[in-house]
Amino acid sequence: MAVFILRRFIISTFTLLAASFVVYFGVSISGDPFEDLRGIQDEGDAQIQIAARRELLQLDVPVPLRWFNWLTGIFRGDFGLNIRNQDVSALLSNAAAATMQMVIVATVLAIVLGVTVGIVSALRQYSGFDYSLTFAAFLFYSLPVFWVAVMLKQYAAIEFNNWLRDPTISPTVTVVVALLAAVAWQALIGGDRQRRLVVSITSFASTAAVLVFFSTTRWFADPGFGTIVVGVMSVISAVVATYLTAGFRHRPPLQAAGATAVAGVGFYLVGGPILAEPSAWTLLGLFVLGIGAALGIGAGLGGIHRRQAMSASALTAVLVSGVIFMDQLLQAYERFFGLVRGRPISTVGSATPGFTGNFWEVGLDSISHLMLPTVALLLISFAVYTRYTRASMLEVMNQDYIRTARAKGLTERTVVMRHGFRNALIPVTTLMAFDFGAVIGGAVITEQVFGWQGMGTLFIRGLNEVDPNPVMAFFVVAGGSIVVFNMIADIAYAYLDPRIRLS
Amino acid sequence: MRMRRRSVKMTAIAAAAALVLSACGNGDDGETDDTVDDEDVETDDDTDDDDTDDEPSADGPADTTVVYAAEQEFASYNAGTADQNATRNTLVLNGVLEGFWRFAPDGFAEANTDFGTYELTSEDPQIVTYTINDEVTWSDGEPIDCADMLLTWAANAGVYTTGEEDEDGNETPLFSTAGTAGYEDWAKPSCADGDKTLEVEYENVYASWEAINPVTMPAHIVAEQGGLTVAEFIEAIENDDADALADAAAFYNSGWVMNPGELLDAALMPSSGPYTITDWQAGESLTLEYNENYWGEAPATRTIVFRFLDQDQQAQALDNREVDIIDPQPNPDLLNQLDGMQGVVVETGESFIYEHLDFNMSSGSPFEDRDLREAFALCVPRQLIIDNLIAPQNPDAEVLDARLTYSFQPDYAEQVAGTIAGDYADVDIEQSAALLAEAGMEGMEVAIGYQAPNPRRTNIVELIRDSCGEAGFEIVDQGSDTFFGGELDETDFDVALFAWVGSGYVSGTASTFTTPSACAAGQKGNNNGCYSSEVVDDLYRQLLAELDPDAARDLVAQIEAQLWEDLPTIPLFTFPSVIAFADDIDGVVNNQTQGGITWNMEEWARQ
Repeated sequence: MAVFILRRFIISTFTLLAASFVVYFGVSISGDPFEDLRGIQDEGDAQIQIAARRELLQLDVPVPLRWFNWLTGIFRGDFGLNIRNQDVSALLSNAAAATMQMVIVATVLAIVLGVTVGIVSALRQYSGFDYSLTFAAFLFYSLPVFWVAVMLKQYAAIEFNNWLRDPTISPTVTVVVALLAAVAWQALIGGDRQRRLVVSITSFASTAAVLVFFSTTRWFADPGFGTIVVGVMSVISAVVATYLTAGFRHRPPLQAAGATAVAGVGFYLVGGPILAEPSAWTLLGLFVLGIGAALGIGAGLGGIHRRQAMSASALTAVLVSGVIFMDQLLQAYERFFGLVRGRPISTVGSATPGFTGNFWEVGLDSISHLMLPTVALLLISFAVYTRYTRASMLEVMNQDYIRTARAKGLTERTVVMRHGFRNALIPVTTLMAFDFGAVIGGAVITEQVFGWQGMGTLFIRGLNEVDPNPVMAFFVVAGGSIVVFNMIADIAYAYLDPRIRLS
Repeated sequence: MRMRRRSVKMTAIAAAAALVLSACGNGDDGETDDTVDDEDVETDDDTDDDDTDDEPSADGPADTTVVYAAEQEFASYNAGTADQNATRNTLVLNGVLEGFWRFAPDGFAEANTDFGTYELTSEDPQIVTYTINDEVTWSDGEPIDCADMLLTWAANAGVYTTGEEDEDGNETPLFSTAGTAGYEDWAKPSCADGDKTLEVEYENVYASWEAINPVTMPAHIVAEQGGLTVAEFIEAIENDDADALADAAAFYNSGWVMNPGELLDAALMPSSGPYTITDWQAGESLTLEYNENYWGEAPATRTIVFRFLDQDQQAQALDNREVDIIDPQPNPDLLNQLDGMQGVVVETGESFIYEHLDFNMSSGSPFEDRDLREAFALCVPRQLIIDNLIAPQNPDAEVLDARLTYSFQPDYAEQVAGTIAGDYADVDIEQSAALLAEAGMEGMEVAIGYQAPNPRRTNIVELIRDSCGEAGFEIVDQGSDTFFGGELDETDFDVALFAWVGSGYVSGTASTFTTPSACAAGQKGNNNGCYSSEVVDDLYRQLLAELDPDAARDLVAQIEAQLWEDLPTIPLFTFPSVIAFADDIDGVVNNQTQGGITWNMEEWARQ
């Protein structure tokens, strides 16, 4: 293993060195670094400024020598100065922070959703659901991201904000959305014709009812859950968590999950003062405490099914925390709505300038800014993850050991979750490592469209201004992270799949 | 739309002074479209209907925020150095650093009598007396005085050097400056710490004295950072002690340059204007807040936010009201998009950039022959170029008939009237062909050089090819990505196509039209075609020394007339500009000078 890593490391270093020279040279000769000064009609001014820039960028030094200077600087941790006499190291850390903020949520969500949907899609192979998802995945994958981003800004932000002035839903829209929901749910749940019919009618009616409720109460103008909704959603969380982790064959896990849900709602009812003005740390502490309590409940009520009961209640605790979190966010909505002058969804940047408020209000502000870029990035990664997971899951489910597991008489849930899902994740894990390496390099286009000054902006601006140092900073981070994460992917693969040996 | 002006209405002095250099008329009447109705009312005297709540009062500005979309991120508190002289800084500093005057939309200095007064007290020798009003201070309480004016001179006159030489044998200047024009002509000024008045004597007559602003940066900060007291700083200048000034100069040159988000200590950035910089989120926004210690009239709005945003994203951000004011480069798609928006005011206009064709008049070039220049000028379809390429962005665009005056400036008509520009107003293929035949040059090849890639210029060359092809010219598209610094410097073109960025002051045009010392790269100044005319040389000599506005205006007219006679260049059009803002914002006035749209940010108000 050590030999393998060392060999990879040495090869990567030389690759990066060679590539850095090519990039540096390319950027340096890509244009006229004085172009913006050429039009100044006052000759003296122009000459003084050109001379200053020549001095700053050391343009009288031959390019290979400049590259060498840059390289020795890098080893001292000095990324040099840009065309505006600013420290590129500082620019880089800002840019990297912005990019990470934007892509991490999107990547995590894409993984969670993509893997989930991919699994379901594999289990429902060749069903209507599978076909629709395959279609959607390819559609999303082939959409140009700049176009999606601009459309999102126009319709999900500008038009949506306009609509919020009078948030009523027309009957036509209600019917269409309800119909779509009916089709989706029956495809997802599957079964014979009668079951599909029941599912369709139920989901149509409930969706329509919810939309009519939203419309008549103008819910979108001041959204919120209320105690009843929190309670109902907590119960649903307990049922879902139990189904995923333990199944309903034995009582204790369900009882433990139920108890956890009740405890969660109980905290929601009495914990108001703590939740009103929390810090991020308080919330994190509460979350950990909640999980701990849930594990305790699981251990106490689990009996001989202790392990399943503990996972069921822990998952319940996570879901209920999520519900309460959402509820608290929405409670802060009214003030936030006023502060942003009635236009909550924004199209650019990561925060409203000068916005101050408590944790929930600031959180809402961040979410309203992160929402659209996240969706734009999500759509594409989501498609990739879905396809990979589906393929991997299908392959695993056709393996002999799955047949053996079924033959042993294990429940389908155990077969899928314990034996299928885990093994299907191995190739997906390596994909995640690759993807993450690529993502650090910057979601260049998405950044541009949503006005984030991240890695992509650093790169493009440097290129436009014939300013090599910012471009090289981008190169070091993007190139470096691709090399590192590729290595991690290889190592992770060997670690997860015992059939593979390195070296 | 109606607008309010602050009490610093252009005064007679400023107007008269403005004439000197550009020979343009007084700014009170006939201002450009951009400046809208120019009601001469005081700030507090609000004539708008129902927005009394947010009006500035004696207590201070209205507690509102106005957001401007800035394309480039702020970088330095000192925009006077060679590497920081850019709109990214000046647009912000418009509200933070104030001086004797500011650039009004017509390109001239608009005196700021709240700050101080300045006047030409003697013509021979030329003496300008600057007096700063007593109550005028930096926001840290330090009075703005003579020391600050001395600093401006020391930093910009280029008299102090580090003692080191660069490769060409030039001494490296101690202070970094974006230009020494004007200051280098000053006799060394002298005054004592605390003086509010400075008499500036020009050793060489400098006609553009109006464009000199002797208060820029706080001298007490520069001195302190250089380890000096203000008195020591003044003394060092008196003794020409470059060594003593070295640390102070080092701070002046780069001490105010900031990395994004890392705002310097407020104590290092005292404000002399209505706002101070209070917050900077890297890559996102910069916030200006009302300067509580401001000596002048409170601004209309307490908070101005600069939101850093690519031009492509500005229109949608405006539509979503995340920004209130934008001034992007116009293009037809953008204008359509803006026109389709609800509650957005769109104003198109012109800018201080003009496109032109320059003939190669160096020896051996066919265009040494005036008849051939005329033949070419007669076939260039100037109106068609505007109709096809510019009108979609500025419906009011017209052919530009002057090189020294912009078509939206008040005196433009008068300047053009005395010339033969009218002879070239319409394309005359027959006449053009006849001239070409007379010279025996039918089928003459004309290589038009420009900096590629540039689709608009490629289109211009196409249009010229179609039209001049009929007259018998053979147009060659010589667009090249090394044009600037390459073909243009080497005079390797028949006709050059590019734009000049100018201002209301014509002194900067001298090197474009006076005889170069030699027709070679680095020696021909801006006179890229190596045009030479004794008449023009002489007129420029007089103009640069002419302090009387009327006489200067007359000289400019004579130069313009002679340039039309000689035809060294053909002006085409001024670049269009566009601004757009939410209709609940008052006081936004397009300003295409160095001032920029934020020139009057203290008047921006939310209804």
